[in-house]
Amino acid sequence: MANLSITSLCNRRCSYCFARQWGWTRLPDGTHMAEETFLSALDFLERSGLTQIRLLGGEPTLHPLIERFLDEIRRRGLSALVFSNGLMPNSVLEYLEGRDDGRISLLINAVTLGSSAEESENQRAVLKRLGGKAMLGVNITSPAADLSALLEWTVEFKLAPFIRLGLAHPCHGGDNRHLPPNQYPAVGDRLLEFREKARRQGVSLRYDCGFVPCLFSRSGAETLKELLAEAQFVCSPIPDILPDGSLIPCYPLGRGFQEKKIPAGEGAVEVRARFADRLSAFRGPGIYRECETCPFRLSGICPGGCLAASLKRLRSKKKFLFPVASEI
Amino acid sequence: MKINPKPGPRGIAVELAPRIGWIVEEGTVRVFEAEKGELLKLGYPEAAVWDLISRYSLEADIVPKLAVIGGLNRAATRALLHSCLRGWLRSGILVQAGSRG
Repeated sequence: MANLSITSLCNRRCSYCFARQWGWTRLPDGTHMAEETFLSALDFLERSGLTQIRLLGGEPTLHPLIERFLDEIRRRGLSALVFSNGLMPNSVLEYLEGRDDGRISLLINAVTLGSSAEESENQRAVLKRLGGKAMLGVNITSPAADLSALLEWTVEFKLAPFIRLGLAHPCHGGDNRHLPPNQYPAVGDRLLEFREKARRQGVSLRYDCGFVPCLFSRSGAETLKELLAEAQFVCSPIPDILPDGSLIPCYPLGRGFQEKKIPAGEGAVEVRARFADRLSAFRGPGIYRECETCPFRLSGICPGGCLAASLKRLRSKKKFLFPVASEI
Repeated sequence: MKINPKPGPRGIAVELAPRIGWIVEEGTVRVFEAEKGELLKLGYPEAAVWDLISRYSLEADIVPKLAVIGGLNRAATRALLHSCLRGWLRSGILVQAGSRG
């Protein structure tokens, strides 16, 4: 897996946005990936053996060459998964409607909490036109997140019967809104209910990275067993390719771990291994104090949650004075 | 290294080296450098020393608490404290105050 972030331009300002945090890479807002860089990135992904190209942003449908990029992906016999907020130009929507070869699908990030009625209506209109080409996703920032619309819209608009769930992680060194781990159990309670409702409607849940078994602490043994098979509790480098062709392990860990360009002759496996090696020095703690002795962690089932979230526990102190005499 | 309870003409103060942070776990303290990652994993009683010097800045505040935690007499407690500080100064995790640049 690898992500192509093809633009830093976006028409929303989601409070949790991971991508906006990589303003510290000094990419101006509205930086678009050049075609040459895109082709180079496709070459990299193909030699990595990846056949699904994931396009992200910003809002990728705002890239002026998005249709050309998608045509190139299809021409190479690959498929594309476009991560979008659904608020796309009508020309792009018409392009997507007209492509029925099954090679382009969309993950629409449902803007429910905090969105305007107009945005919500715009999203609904797009989903109605995309139908089975789209699935819904959400990044959870609070236990109060209302997920019911995701299921309603999936059924109403006959979307692909999957809902992707993500936890809003902090960006290392950033200040985006995120879900603090002490709220995970409350989120887990809501997810267990939602999961049951979704199953009854024939909709499966897919879990993004950073979920942990203890988030579902109130589930019974059988449900937990099912979740262990469904959720794949992971935290590992993706990697993400940014509009300027640089690579980062993932958006939350972009700061301080960037590689300047797509390596010639290497694939995603080598890049992932390099990032994993660099990150291994930070992997000791988990998101909770208790991760140190947690049986799920010790058995290798859980890596201790999102690394960026665990690094949020780092304490520092400008003044750390202790008076001593020196006789060195 | 002689230890003074208060800074003075014969005393220096120490502080964290730049880009050093730490995470407290159930039984350990992990010390990190921003680029290099984990530098030290401290178990008890060294973890208690670190935790206490991160909160208190006078030996007179630290030694009694550390003595209770470590189950040591006062002299042994001071020896433990000074030994930790010497080691952390030598390793560069702590530096002389004002030398952080």
